[in-house]
Amino acid sequence: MSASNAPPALRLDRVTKRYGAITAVDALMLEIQQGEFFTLLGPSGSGKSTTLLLIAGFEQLTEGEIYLGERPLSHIAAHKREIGVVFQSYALFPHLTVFENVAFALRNLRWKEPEIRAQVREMLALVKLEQCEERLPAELSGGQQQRVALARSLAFRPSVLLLDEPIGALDRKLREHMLVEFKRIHRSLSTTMIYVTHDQEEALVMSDRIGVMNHGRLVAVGSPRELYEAPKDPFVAEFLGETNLLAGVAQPSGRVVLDGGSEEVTAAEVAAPGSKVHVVVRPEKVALSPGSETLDGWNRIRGRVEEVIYVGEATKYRVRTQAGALMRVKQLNRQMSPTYEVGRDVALCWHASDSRLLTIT
Amino acid sequence: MRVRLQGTPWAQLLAAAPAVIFLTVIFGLPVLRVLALSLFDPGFTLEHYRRLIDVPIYRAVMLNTVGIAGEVALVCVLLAYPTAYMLATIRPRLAQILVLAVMVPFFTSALVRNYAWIFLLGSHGVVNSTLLALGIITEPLPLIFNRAGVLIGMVNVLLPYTILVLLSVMRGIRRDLLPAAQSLMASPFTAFRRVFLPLSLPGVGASFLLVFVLGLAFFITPAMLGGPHEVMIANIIGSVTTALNWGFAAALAAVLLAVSLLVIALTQVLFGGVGLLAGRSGTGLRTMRVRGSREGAMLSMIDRLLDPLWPHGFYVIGGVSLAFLVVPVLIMVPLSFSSAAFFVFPPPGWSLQWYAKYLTGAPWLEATWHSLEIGVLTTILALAAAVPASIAISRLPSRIGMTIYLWILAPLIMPSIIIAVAVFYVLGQLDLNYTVLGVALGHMILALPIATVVLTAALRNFDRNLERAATSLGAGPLRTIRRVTLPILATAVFTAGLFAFLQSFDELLIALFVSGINAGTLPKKMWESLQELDPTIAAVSTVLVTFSIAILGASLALQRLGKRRTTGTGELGAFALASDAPEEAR
Repeated sequence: MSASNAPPALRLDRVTKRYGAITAVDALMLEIQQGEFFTLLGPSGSGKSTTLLLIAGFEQLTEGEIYLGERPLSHIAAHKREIGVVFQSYALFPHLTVFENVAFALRNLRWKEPEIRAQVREMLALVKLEQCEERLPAELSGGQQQRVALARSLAFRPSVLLLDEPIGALDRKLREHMLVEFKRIHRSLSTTMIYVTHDQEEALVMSDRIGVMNHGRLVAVGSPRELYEAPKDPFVAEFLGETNLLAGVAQPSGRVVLDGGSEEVTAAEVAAPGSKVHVVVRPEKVALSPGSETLDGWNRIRGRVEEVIYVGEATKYRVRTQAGALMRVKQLNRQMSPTYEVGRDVALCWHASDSRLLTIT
Repeated sequence: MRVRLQGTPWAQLLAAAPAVIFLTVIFGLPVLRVLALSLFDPGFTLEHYRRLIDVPIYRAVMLNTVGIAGEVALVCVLLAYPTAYMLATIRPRLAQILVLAVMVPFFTSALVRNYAWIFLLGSHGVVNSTLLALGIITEPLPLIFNRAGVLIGMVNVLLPYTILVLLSVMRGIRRDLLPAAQSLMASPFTAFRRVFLPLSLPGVGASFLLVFVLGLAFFITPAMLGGPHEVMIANIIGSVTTALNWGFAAALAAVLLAVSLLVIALTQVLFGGVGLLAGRSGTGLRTMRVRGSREGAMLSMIDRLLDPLWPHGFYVIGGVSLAFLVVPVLIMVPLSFSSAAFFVFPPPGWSLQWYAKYLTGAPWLEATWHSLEIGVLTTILALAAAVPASIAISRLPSRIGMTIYLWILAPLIMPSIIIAVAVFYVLGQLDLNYTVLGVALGHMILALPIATVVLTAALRNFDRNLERAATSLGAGPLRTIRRVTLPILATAVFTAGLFAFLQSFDELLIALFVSGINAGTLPKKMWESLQELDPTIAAVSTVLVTFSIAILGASLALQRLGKRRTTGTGELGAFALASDAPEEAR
């Protein structure tokens, strides 16, 4: 989709928001394609929600411009932007029935009565709430309220839909269910959706692309696989899933000597000789072995098990390397999987192509 | 209601006993006894009620009362809604400051504010003098001692209350609904019309009816600012009681009470908002279910017309309302420093002569002394009963606790003229009329519920695990209360004391009936000076306003202190709502 010639659905050009001396959003550059499901991911206070408020028009830009298609938005009031918003709190109107909540925008647009009825029915069918037309929001469960909020914001067919941590208030089981629903609805309408969350798991499951934010800046943009497998930034590596960062110095041989010892490892990339680097390797890529045999293309360092945590589908180990670093290792629990007890000396092995190098600047 | 006492802790009931017994003996039974006199004076008779219906003047007074109260309630709501909307939607910092323009008048006695209106609107008053001097008019306008005067005075007394009620209603409306409406293509005004307005309407209805009820019982304002045509039912009750015509006074009181209770019941049935009377901010109001309807051409025109004015139009009305509230509170200050020998505006020069007159005049000083004496006594008695009662209310099973709570709050919805008549009656029986103790007992009827509201609000936020922790560390029940509960609640107790004192210090009606010469209070002395109207009144008023501001400031400071100690003393607004306008309107 990035290769298409269609103009982006939404373009952020040096979007900046300052509150006094604090810069909440710092010169954001971003293009979101038609029909894309884009996630803004970041810890709280990273500026992702402010970005959403700026796009929706509830906050004024300090600098920069936002384009919806070709149209600059900065001088257009929130209610004229035609951008749908799903709020974390749902913000359903408590005095209106489900039907009237969904019809709210259509009445503002002065649609004709039969058209309103048809559109509301279609939207309620889309979120599978046909039976609830005449109920008040207070009479619905949390998940149902969430779906009404979604139907309501989609009813006037906005070209872009913003979702602000829309499932944060639901319990875990319902969250997973709603993720599936969002994907289904996104596929069936192909509306451009911008989804804000601090939950990396949601982001990975849902998105065509993810933009990771930190301290008001966009630190990385890419597909979930790119960001997870080949993070270009230590913040991204640590925020998106668990990871191990091993400090070392790049050698002319292309290998890396780890700090605090003389052990050498190889990664998928090479760095300039003499530069300080982090070797990045995910816990599930690392295998523990009792022996000392070496295989071609595999890294191998020594350590001692310090902690063993059973988490159901897997066992997590914390292993102290000879150099003194702490490595996290995750092994799936299969019948034949060996287990290791605390204090056991083990070898930590991973394939060179499963680790990346990040140069420390 | 059958209350199961089995398994309830007797110690708690014992703690609530003083408050309950006091109110039963000094308030509940006397009110019933007086009301009974309407049918039994001397033997069973319907004569008193017949007189009510047959004599045209009484019919006129009753219609008058309903008419005035209705007009006042309407104006109050029309002014209070935009003002409350402004306070609820502007920046919180600014709102905090502007709310003071509501709170200060709220805590200033109606007597002082009515005097201010006389100085402002009288034929030689500030307004007329200014207009005459400017040559705009040639003769003073009749702004006072007529219907307009009564409406201005009553709206001024009841507006702060209306604003605070509506503000608490509006703060209960979720803030995210308006941006949500805008994201659904509603302009800011359309969002207000389609979302905020319908959600606030039950609050509007409830506040209208509650203000109407309070207005029915007005006594001081119609007497001070009205003419012969503005006599209200409470004024008649007062004069008939003074003439010791108990049976007829009782019949009038019964009618007033019946109408009040009917309207209160109606409020509860229609809107569910009676909790507002007890300072339960905004809770319990029903949500109005709105049927969807076409957004027709008419509405679209209204939107297009009002959108450009929105929300500034509301802010203008809000600003005017706040000015209307503040002016009578502040106008007395410059007048009190006048060097003239009588009241003129503008003051020809400045002097302290009126303060000197206040501080050297034996009757003024004596009245001040009585007021202080009665205030302190009232505070001590009220706290002694309210502290254990509040703790008991928060500990008892909720049905029993709630029953006791409602009984203690009952005086707050009772028209104060009826309380005054009943107190006059019971103190006569006890031979306590015209004594300091007698007046204090009368004041305690209102100070006790106010203190209880404050303390109960604080106890609601009190973490009982603190007490459980103390018990687990080996402290007995009394020791726990002394070492843990009371120190943490200290700010609330102090605040309750301040409000109790202020209530007594500003009270006029009860004092008017029962203080006599031996225990005459400062408000009574002011009331009696109505004919003289010299600037001493301005000096005394300034002292009283300063005093009220000091108490308000102290309670705000205490509230902040209480928050820092992790148990807030509740919302000041909640106390304020329950304490009503300190003087009239109870």
